[in-house]
Amino acid sequence: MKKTPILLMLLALLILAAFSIYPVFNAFRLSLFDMGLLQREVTFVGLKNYSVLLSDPLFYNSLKATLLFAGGSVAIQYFLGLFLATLLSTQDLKGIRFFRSSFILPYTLSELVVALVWLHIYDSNFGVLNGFVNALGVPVQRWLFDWAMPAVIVANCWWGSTFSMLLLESAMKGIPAELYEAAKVDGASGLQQFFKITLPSLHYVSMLNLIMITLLTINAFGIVFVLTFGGPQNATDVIGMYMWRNAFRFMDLGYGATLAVVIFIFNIIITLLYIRVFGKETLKGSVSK
Amino acid sequence: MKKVVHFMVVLLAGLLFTAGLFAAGEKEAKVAEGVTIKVINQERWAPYVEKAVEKWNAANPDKKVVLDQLVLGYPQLRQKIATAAAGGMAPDFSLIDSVWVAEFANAGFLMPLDEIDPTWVENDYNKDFYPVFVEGDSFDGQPYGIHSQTDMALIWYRKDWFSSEGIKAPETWEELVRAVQHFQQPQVRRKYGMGEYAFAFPAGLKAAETVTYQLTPFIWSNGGDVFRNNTVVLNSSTTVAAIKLLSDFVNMYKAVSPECIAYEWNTALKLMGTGQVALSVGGSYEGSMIKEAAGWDDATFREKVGFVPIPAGPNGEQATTAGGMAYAIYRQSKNPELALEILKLTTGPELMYEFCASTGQNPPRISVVNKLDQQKDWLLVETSDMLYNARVRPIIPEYAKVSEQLQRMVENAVSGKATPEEAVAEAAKNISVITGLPLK
Repeated sequence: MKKTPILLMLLALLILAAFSIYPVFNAFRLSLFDMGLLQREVTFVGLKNYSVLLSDPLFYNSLKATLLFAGGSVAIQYFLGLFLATLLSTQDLKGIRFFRSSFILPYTLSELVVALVWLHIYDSNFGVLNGFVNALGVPVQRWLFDWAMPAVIVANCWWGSTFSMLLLESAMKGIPAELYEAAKVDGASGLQQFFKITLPSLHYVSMLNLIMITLLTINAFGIVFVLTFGGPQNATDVIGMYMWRNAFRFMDLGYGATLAVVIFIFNIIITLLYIRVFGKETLKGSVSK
Repeated sequence: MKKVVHFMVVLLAGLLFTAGLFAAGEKEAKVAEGVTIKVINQERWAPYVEKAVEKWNAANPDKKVVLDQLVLGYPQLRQKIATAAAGGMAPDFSLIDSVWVAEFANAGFLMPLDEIDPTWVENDYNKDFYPVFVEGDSFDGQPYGIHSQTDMALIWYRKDWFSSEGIKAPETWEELVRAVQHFQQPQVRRKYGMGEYAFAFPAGLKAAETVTYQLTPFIWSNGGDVFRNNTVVLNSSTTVAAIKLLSDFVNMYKAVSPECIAYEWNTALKLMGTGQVALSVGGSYEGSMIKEAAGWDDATFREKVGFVPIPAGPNGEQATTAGGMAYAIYRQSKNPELALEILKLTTGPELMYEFCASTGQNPPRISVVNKLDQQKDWLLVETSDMLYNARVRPIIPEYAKVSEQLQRMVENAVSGKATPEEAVAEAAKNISVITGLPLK
């Protein structure tokens, strides 16, 4: 019987290797070639694609845009998620099911649907947001022109904050009630309880949450694609968008793969950075639990 | 554990056996029915290929065709056919944007039509299709694409407002500037309930190919071009003047919203349809969409909206782009002759007329244009007049990258990121690097 779990895990590993590990290696292999879907010849060019990348101003622009997009999105998603999770964890809150369902609703929609909804909201001539803003006496705004980056961040957060909320709320539910009761007896205020009990207890889940939402945001593409297509003036041309343009619009598989490899390396670096910032003990602590 | 493994092995074997039986049965059935022709198409076009196959089968009961048609949206089309062809799984023929023909032909994926049936090419294709399509669907002197419909870049204007203001439709840049300035005046905008700007066109990467399609004629209309005699000739005073004109509409005359660089491909037509602007740069395919946005019937639309080709600059003539979708046969096709026979019917006068009349698209065949109803199909009849002077976008394998450079050039100049001179010079330099062609 002991063999069954091993066999099942091997099967899972096989599937993982076929659909996740192989593509990563293949992307690295492709990045060493001058290769296009509509190109007759495939030429080995070594690290040339990487040297082109390092002298490509649009690549640096995409890095800057990604940093802003990911930075803004992660900060808002984490703190908004934490705020909503805290509210939902409040005991004896009336209508908690309604609120939880409402907060979860955006996450049930696909990224494309979310993007299309926000495209209609932001439309400067026919959009709902300008109708609302106008009713308040504020001049009509060109959301996807003057406020392009904040606009895509807001749309992304509207969709993604639920993930943080769910993760943090479930972790909060696991904190023993006795801790809060003891703190109350000691005269700790609600705020003190939050900072001294809740937050430290969320250390591990926060790290996981931050890693997940950062990676999801860096790899995000659909919302930017639909809302701004990387514009105006490349202001929202995040690295996923730039990779898509090269790999699928220009069919330049070699350069597209080079960008994919760079994104992969960034993802690893970011994960390691988070682990370093939160401390390796966080991981060990979670294992020992 | 053993029982579970045995059960799974038997289940798997059973599934494989059943699937094999079904596959064999299906294959046998298809062989009995006829030859399978694989097609990749778009929704609006697909029924007409079905009709062509029905016609073929009725006329050739001994050589029946079984149609295996994959229907996709435009955004997936290019990637799907490229992936299929690169993977050796190309269909017999597919719908293809005419600007992709050179790219796919250069990759060796397409079969020249004169290699399949030179007589048809000589007697029908070369004679009945407008010369602009015979040229535009050819690469290295050989024809590869058969246009199914076409459209032209133009300027829509509010005929009723122009008439009431005593202004004639613009035929030159000067007249265009005057008309735009007139309608930009606050009292005129108020009079017609217009928005903040009188004129609209898309000018950024977000509108993608629409920008190249609609704004390249401004370069042609002043005698400029992107390529000439295998040389990049974009960086010229004529192009700079054209780009400066577009930039001036935004930055000097303040008659076009700066937001035009973030417009979708259809924002300008929506502004036109909702009466927000008096003029917009567009394409003949937008007629039905403007009608829909405005809620007009055909007669009202005809009464209120007029169109002109892109007006002539000081150094050129009125100009327009001819675009549209074509069909192409793949080298990997096992039955290229049969595929061409089906396409002869699909793009033949009878089905082309039916398709164009029902979808409001311009026919690329001269004989079909001559058959159009002057009253019912008035828009197609009138816009088709422009086809003899229409031009196609650059026919080069690197078109996608070149097109993006042209879009960037417009976006950079209109947004004020670069002067028209700088934007044009940079685009020309980049296009030279992309294509390997020398700069003039």
